[in-house]
Amino acid sequence: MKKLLYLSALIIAASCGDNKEVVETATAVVNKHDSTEVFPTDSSSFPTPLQEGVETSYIGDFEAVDAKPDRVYYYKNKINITIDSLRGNEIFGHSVVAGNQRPFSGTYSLTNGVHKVSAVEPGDDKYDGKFEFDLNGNAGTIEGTWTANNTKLEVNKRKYKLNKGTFSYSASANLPESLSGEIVSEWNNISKFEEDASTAEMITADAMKINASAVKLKKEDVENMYKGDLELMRNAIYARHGYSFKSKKMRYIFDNLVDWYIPYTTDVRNELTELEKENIALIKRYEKHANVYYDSYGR
Amino acid sequence: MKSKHAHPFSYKFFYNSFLLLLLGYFCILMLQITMQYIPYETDVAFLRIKQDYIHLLHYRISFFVHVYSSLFVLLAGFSQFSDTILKKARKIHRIAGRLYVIVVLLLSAPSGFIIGLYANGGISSRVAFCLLAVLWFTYTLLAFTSIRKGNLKGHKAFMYRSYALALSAITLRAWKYLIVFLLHPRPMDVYRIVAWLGWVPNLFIAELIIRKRLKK
Repeated sequence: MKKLLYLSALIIAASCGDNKEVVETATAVVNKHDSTEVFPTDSSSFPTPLQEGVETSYIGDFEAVDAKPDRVYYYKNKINITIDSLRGNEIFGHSVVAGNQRPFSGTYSLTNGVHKVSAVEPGDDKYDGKFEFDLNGNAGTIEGTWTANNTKLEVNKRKYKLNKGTFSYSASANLPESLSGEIVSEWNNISKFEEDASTAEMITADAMKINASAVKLKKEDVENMYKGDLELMRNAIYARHGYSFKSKKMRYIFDNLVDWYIPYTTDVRNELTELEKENIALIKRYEKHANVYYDSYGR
Repeated sequence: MKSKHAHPFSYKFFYNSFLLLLLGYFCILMLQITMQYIPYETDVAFLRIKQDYIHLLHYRISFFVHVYSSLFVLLAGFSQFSDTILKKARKIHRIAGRLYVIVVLLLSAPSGFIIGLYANGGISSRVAFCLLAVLWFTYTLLAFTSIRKGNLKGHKAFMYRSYALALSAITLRAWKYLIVFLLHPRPMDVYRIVAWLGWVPNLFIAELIIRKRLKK
């Protein structure tokens, strides 16, 4: 009888499941940085920026200082720090990490080809803070720390050592075969790994069999795929456009395990090709179906 | 069912009550599945992954006829196998029986055959569902013609078979649930398996029951 109750609970859960959108969609983050004196949007009002050859992007791990070992996944994201311009001793740039794009501005001093930079983010976002780094133009590296304004954050200090890297969209970037066998979960409740275990799923080779940015999918291609593989296949499309993921699961995969991935933007909706849009629609259909019906009574 | 009227508190009484409760429980689940398609909607639930076929008028008609009619077929299990009803209210047995035959022969089985032609999972599941529909139609028809000829034994045997196949609506989904729970296979692999597992064992059990109860 217990089993029957359990069954019925599942059915009820499944029938309510229609509005439970587990699927991350690329969404825009509106940057409300209107403090124009610090973060210029109109560069013409300033003297011509200096060209120092360092105005480019730097990519690498954004790692928590004092990472707790049992929460290690959470404490490492891939960050893109882009230097937009230099003027006098002022420096302007922005960072893209963990689904968040934020500008920063500050000052620098130049000694022996190394720019010592101290810069702040606008301060109106929960995750804003202060960057301190050494920018070595010749070596093409950035190394330094970031300190959150809010000391109560789970992680309030991070370090990073970044290398020059330029984002460019390539439809032919494939997911690495080595992802197969990787076990991932939602990591929604990072302090309770046992709860995460219930969402754990293994990535299989299916997820990287077809590149959904390059090949038009047929229903036969996706109908026998696991939900997690479908989700990864679809998110790989966003990743090729440099989408910075909010989902911890996707961040774990792309930030840590996919070499070509560079976080570049928080909204890719206007960048998607027609082929990609059609494939996304098809994959979502099967994801949604799998999510509601795969392990429940009924179909 | 040769045994005498089931005595209250006898083993048989509890056993029958349990089976009826179980059937009731699964009928409620089936009702919930049916309710997903009310009001009429072509991009919900199972139909989300049938968009290649939903534009076909005969598919659409068959699908909704099948979904809306099949629940009534299952209800036959509550009345038609009861000795009490058969003996004390034969009229109920006859009316419900005719309804069952009409719904199966005119609605559920033919529509099942047509949607079976477009079943997910390729040729093996298509054969499974179409064969199921053909056998279901045939057994139901034979059960009807045999009672018209007064062949009680034949009527009972074919009705056991017919209803065993009707129950595949329930057992198919139960197998799916169990197999996913235990083995976590790929979704379409599960579907190909339950397309057969949903009804073949049912028929096997029906034959066992027929042998035990009717060949005495």
